[in-house]
Amino acid sequence: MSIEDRKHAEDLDAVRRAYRGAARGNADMSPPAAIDDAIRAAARRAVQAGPQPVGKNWLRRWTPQFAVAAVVVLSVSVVMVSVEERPELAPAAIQKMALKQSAAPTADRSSSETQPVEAAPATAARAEGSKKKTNVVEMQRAQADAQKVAPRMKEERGAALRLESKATPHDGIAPAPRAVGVTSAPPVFVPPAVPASAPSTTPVLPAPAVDSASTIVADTIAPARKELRADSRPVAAPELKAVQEKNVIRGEDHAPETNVSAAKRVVTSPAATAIAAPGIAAPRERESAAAPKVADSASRQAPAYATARNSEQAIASAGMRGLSKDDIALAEKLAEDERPGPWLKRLRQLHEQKKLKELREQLVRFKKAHPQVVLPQELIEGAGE
Amino acid sequence: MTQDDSDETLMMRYQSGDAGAFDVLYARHRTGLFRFMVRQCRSREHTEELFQEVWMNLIAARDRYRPEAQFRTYLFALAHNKLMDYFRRHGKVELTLYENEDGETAVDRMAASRVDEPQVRAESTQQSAAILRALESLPAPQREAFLLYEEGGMSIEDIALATGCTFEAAKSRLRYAIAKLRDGLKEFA
Repeated sequence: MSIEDRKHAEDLDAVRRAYRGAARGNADMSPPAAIDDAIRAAARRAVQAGPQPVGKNWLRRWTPQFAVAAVVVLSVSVVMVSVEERPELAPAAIQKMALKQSAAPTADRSSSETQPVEAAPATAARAEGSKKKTNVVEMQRAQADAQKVAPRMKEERGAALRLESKATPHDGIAPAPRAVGVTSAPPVFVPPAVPASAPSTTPVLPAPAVDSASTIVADTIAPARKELRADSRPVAAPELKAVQEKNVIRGEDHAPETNVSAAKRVVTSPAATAIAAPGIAAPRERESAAAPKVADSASRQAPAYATARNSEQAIASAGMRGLSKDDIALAEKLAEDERPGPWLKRLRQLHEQKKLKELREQLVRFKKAHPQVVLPQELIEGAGE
Repeated sequence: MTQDDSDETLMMRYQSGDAGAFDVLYARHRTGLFRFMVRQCRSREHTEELFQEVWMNLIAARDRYRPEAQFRTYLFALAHNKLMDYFRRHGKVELTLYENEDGETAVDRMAASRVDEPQVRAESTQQSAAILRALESLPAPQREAFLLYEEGGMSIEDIALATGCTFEAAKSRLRYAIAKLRDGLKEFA
């Protein structure tokens, strides 16, 4: 102990002694009895009031039960929804049950749809195959094959996103949400079903109000979209089918593995997930396989709709390759802008604005896309043709 | 049995509906708390009012009390806050020893009551009067720190907690207070 500390301790002792002596000398330095009584009475009243503790006790008693019940209900709901939406991610037991339940309806549906010749044998072959080997083995092989397909899908997806990035400088749309889509894992997106019967005649639709920003985007993106359209057709369904057939052929050579090891392997690629549960994923494959043929027949019947159909098909294919819903929505909007009505309106605007060079280019493209539509004379003359 | 329980145990019992626990708690702290407050507040009337409000606050907030801090610290922190509110409401109050209805301070009363007592006790009386005067002349934070230490029986950490200052500040205030009070008692050394 230092000298200062010792001195402080001595001072403290002296001061305390003096202070206590002074305090003893003041006997009236305490609260009056009336205040004591009032405080004690208030304390008793507060305790005897009753409803507050009862309510709290009830809450305390039932809070854990409510919490557990809520967790259970939420968990079950989430599992049910996920099994319903992504059956391929469900455990093997549930998949088998779903396979059994959906086997009969799947066969019925496949016979009534537009591609019975290709889809039905594939389903039957898969049903036979599933008897011989487990789903786990299929998942393993599907994953391996999906890895082969993945680079090409990635490239295509990158091309689609590059189109958007080309478009953004014109219209000033912020690219941030799409940039997130580039890095994140591609979600499996079920393409919108293509109607089997397309309208046979194409009236020139009344022109809706055209958004100038979307017009610019459409003009910029159109050539690139054609490239995408040409590129997209043969990729999704045939390639999936080839992978699937390969799996069926090779399936018998491999020994079945445990559920634990299979559970560790998470299927991330859309192609792999489509093949992982054959019975359940079959409708999707049929849809993707059916899409080009339906579109082709529609284009034969109604040339004016051919471009639009092809665009939708490209959108559907793009969706199969993992584009997000936002990407699909944007592409759909662009496809709508290629319809004759809005396009003619834009041509008129170009004519009015005396942008002859652009007008000529657009006219050439319009004629290619809609050869059956008779162009107004003023536009042809205005373009100097 | 109840008398031996700690303050925290008694408060928890009161929380769960034992009114008798509160009586014990109140009996333990009523004098110390009252002295702590009365030495900082000029008016006895106001002191009694504030004292009652402190206990009423404690009763009302009994469900929020958690025995993580000492009960004593909790109680004196309530009193500190109440006094701060009072000082704010009444502007800058020059803290002095409280006066009774006749305007006498404790020092005056002490001197008057002992005037005819034997010579032996006279020195002690004068010493008491001197220390109360020295206490009166202390800056408010230093006086509060000393009163919390002496009347509340609190450690420096608890003083820091109750007054919302740092440990170093509380320690420094207490040191200065003791040094000044000691200076006031020099003639009796």
